Amino acid sequence: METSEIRLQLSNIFDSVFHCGNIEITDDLTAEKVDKWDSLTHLTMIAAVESHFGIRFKLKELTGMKNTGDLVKLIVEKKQAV
Amino acid sequence: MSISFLQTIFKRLQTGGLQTACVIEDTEISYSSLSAMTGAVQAKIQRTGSMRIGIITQNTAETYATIIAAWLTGKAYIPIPAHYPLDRIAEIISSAEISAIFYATEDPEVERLTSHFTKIIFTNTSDLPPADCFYSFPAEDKEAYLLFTSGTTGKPKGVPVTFGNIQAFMDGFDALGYQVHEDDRFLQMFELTFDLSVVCFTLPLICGGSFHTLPSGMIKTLALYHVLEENRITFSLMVPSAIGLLLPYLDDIHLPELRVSQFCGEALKKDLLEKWMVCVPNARIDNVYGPTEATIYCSALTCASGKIPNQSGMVGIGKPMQESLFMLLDEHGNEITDTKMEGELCLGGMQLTPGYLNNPEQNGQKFFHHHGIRYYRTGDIAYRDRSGNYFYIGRKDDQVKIQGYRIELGELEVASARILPQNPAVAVGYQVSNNWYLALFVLQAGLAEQKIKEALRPLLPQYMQPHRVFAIDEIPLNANGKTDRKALRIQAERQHAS
Repeated sequence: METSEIRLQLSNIFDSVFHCGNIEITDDLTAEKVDKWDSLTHLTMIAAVESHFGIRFKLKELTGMKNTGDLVKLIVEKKQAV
Repeated sequence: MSISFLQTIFKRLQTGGLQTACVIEDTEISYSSLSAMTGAVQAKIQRTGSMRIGIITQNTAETYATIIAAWLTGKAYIPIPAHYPLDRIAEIISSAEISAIFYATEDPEVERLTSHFTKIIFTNTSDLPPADCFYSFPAEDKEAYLLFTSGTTGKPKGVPVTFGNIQAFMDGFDALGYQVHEDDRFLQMFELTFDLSVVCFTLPLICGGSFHTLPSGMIKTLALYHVLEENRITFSLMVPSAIGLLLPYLDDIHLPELRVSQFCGEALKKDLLEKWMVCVPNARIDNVYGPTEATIYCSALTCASGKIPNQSGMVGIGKPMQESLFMLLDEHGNEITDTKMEGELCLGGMQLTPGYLNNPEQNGQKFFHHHGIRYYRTGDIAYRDRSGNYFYIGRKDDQVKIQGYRIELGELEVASARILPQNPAVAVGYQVSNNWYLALFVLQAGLAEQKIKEALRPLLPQYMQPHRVFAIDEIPLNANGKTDRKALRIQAERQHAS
């Protein structure tokens, strides 16, 4: 799956979790830039990503994730491993 | 009563040397460094006239040194998150009569405050020269900290806690038999506006151990796991929702060095606790309970695998600690002496606050005397079993707890009325997948959800912001003609993901 396609799909997931209009998925996007992006919505978003892409993250992978770019990279790796 | 906990901290600062006192943002701070920072701030604090000082809650060693400096100088601290709405900070400054605020790092949020509150003396503690600390032996009835909790009228309530209250807590804590020592590494996951933070940084400094805060820039729950594992924490106090959020990943967590795992701040579910027990095979696990008004926590229940006292899956809150008294009152105000009978839980004893700051109305409503003993009405409904353990059932009012934060729904409704005065609003707490959320229903709101959320942002702290805002055509009423919050809760749960 292309990263551009992953970003598009992530955009829909982000909209449904954060309820704050169209969020542009850039590599440097972090929690500080999105309203209501806290522990609760972050883990809700991660659960939605796992379910949507049919993948599963390890807790260590989640703690190492610094921004949305890292999330996209991990999704690519996981999808390739499937 | 001698304030021995503070004397012990003073001695530790003087003798702790290079031993680690705290780890903040992955940097170890020794007792001698913390002592020098404390002394530096003390010299400055002593020159301030006010009995209370404001502290900007930054994740730095200087912030904690400033708290200890305030105490050793016999003054009280008031934590002030710089990101709070200006109106709220102004309210805190005015009601607490603060004339001096200390901060540790220049940042845009601090700059916003220094340029707005021009009559306040702001001090950057990292600019102060190191100095020896000294001890002024505060009296037990002197205020040690003042925290502001959510108020139903939209105005936060100030809860003063004295040095005597903290000493009573520490005496009660000792009697629980945790045997904390110099090798213990304590988790400090709480914002300083949350009174659970007080035990998380005070206790390590009493026993000569270290406290470990969550690194900034990480999602809080993930930072929590990171610190628990990387810093090999031995003593943790957490809100249950912190591990509730990690539920899908509990299989990845193995913390054999954690020897005490306490939970507080929210109802703890038995099934979650059972799963957590597998992650912490060597830990003593206690559920502790108590509102800010009774200093940190005032009851404890030790849970063991297969032996978790609970009521409908909700873990009990245990027995009162050594310096605390519990009493249940029925709806007519009579004391309940029978076991298994539900009533409002009232708290008395040495940990009890002297009363809300400048708030005779609330003091009259919430505090009362019974057989010569002063009690506080918690608003919590509970019962006692034959063994003397208490069990929390629910609330008698509209207060909700979201991720440990105590929120009066009225406060959100008052904020809504400020932006939409013609549109009555009802706030509710609701649950989806075991997580609590806040929703605001606004009658015939002509504004989009996003616009209302944006308008609320400068009025309320982050934790009080609603997750969802829904427009409704009419406010549902129950059979008694009152707002049917239950119906709105159900509606919020149904529409949560819409």
